[in-house]
Amino acid sequence: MYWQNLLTYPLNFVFWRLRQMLGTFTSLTFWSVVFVGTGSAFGYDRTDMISYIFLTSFLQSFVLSTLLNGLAQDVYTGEISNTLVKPIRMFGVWITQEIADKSMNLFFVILESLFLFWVFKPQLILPPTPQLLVFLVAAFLGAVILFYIMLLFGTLGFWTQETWGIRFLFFMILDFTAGKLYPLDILPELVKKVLFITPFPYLAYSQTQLFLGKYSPTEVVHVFIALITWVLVLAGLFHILWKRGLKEYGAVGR
Amino acid sequence: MSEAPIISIQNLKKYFKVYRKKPGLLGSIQSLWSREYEEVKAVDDVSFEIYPGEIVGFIGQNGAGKTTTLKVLSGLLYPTSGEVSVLGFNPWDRKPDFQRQFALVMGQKNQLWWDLPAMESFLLNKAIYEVPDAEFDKTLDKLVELLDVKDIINVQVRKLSLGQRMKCELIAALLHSPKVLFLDEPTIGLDVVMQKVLRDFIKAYNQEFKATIILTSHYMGDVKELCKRAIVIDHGQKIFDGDLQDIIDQFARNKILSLIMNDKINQKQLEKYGQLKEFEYPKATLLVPRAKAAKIAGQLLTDFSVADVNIEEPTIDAIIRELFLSQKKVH
Amino acid sequence: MWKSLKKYWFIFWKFRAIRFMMLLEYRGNFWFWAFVSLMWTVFNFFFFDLIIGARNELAGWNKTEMYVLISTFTMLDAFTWSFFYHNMRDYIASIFNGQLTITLTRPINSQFLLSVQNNSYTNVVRFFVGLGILIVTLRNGQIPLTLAGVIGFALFFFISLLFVYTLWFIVATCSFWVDRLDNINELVPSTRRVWQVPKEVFTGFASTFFSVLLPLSLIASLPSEILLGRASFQWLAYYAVFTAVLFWLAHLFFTFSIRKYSGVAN
Repeated sequence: MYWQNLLTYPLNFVFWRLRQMLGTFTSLTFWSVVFVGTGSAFGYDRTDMISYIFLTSFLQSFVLSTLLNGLAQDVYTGEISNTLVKPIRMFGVWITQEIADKSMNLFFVILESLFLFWVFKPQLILPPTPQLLVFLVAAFLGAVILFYIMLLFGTLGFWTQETWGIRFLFFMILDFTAGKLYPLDILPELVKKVLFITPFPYLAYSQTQLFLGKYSPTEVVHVFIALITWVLVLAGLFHILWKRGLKEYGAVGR
Repeated sequence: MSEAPIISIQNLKKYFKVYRKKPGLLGSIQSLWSREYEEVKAVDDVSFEIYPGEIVGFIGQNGAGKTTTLKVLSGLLYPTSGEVSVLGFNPWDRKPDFQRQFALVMGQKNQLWWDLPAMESFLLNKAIYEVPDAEFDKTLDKLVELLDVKDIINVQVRKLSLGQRMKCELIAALLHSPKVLFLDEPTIGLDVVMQKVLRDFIKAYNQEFKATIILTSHYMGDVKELCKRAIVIDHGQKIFDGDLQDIIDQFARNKILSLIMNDKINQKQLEKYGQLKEFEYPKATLLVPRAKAAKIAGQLLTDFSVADVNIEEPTIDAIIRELFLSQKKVH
Repeated sequence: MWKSLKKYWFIFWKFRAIRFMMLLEYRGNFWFWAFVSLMWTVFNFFFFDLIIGARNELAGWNKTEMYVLISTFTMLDAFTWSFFYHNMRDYIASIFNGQLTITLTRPINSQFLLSVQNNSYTNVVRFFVGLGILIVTLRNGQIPLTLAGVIGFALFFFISLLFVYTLWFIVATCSFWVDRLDNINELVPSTRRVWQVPKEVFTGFASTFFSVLLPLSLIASLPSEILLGRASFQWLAYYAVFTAVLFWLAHLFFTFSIRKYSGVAN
């Protein structure tokens, strides 16, 4: 159903992918230039950096979710009641849609990556299987974190119509803090400390580091503790707020 | 009417291409490279002339081609073929000199700034239409008086009621004193009182400013009260053009009698008097021949104990349906 | 001619006044977005500072020159969000909801009306932040300013605005030809990352593409080069002519598209 919807408006999807790819392309070009004439900077050499950007873009496409952007609006206008009365559980609907969206995006990301790979020829060495598995699990948890954050934004729709602004602010901060543009470890120590308390580094940066094998076993454990804590915190918060919101809904009688 | 027509349309045609999607996923994929188009004849060979000062009613069902014709006349749509002339201009050229002389008011579209008093929109239109100060003041005063909106033009539009908003929309559209006015469903969504206010205004405006008006409407009331002449369009073709009363006489052969009975009577008893359309005790609706309506009503009053009786004209839809039916028989 | 110029000038400012009145109506919104815009600027400068700090040059541009480039970009980008984004969004929406019909019946150039009726003031601060940093950088870097340089900068700053506008207008006008495009208005701003790096960053085919075929990389680079006294005449001429031709094509495309437009079925 979802794929069919996309194909009805193929240009929409093409544009979306085009924008994503342009972003990756500019980042890669930019960093290629930064490293022209030098062996290394910020503790990364050129190949490291290109691989890094490559991986984060890949991860972004996997973790990022725009599907639930309209949720707050649906909640606010009461559109969602239509789905609420259906016998399928809301949550199941979201998850299936999310999976359909992700698989579609993933398919194209792989195609695009092959092209970018050919242009920039990064030296990606597949890590040993256990490391790869750890990476995949971490990527999955990252996706879950963002999924819950998006649901939380949707929940705001119970109380206010003006959710676009706050979402925009979130994505802007995400742009600079998830590690999409540059590896976070080039930041000053203090900024880093603050940043690692937030969920942002766990949406792309940590995963790439896992992939590249930059973490020691204890650090891996730390990352996983952080990931799981965030999933639990956000999930808990969402379920509480959603229940509250539904009650409010009933009270207003929308 | 010895004057030259102010609007003239000869053999106007406007066809649209509409894209058809095949159902299912397969159809979606297929439509990526091959799409099937279907031609819709929105206006198919229509001709008429309208003279200065006339108010003409444009009647037809949804999708009959009324709005399309108005859009061609406003220069919004490029005709597939045919000659169109409004105020001596070809509308499609969209010359500012032409655009300054007409106005298109669409019931569902608004041009007022939602968050500002209507007065701001008026001033903006004054600049766009290049209305001189003195003329602007004069026209505004007159329109404000006719519509009785003195107190609300400095109130934010979003705080106004639908009716008040529509009044302000009209003022915004008429500030440049257009010679030709196209009204597309001006009374849509308004209550009965507001409908009447607007009708009175349109009539007064026509007289005061000597403007030529074309009006489309769903409501029989609008057309009946305002327009002497009506043009009926169906499936893109003109099927009637002439005196509105002619249509009513010719095609509204019946009147509607609505009764509320006191006595308990059965269906059979009533069917003797006319065609029984609805019966749900104590209410009954009868269709009776036009000429005999009064007489039958009198008879009913003497024969039964009737609590209430009403003689009504059939709705425009009913009349037009009759007209359409008769058309089909001819073809 | 003079009279109609005056009319357009007056209407342009009338819209600014209308928008200002609306701003006063929704002040909370204004502060929020002004804050977002400022945050973005800070982040962006911070990011580049970090990189330039470590490398001292980028694609042949030294630290001072990079700062000139980024502040020029910041000033240009203030217009992206304050002006183009809102007008083009409204324009696209009006194609789909049929509101465009009203615009088209007015005795004024429709393209003009569609392009100027909206704006926000949230990025005004950003423009001045950019200007401030530009002036300070030029001072500290002891870059000699000539009158011709300043005029040339202003002129090409304007040409860049025109270029961005024209490109955006063409993209928006594509909405006439497609069923539905949710994020068509995001397409041009998503190329901003190409504008803000020196044009020399791109090499090979990318260079040909972003400087010649679709000169996005010239948008901020060329005005900066003029100030820095390193602009080449050929590039400036090419960019100016390209923009003029594109503007003319945009006009043709618009005229052609409204011919096809039938409004929303009703």
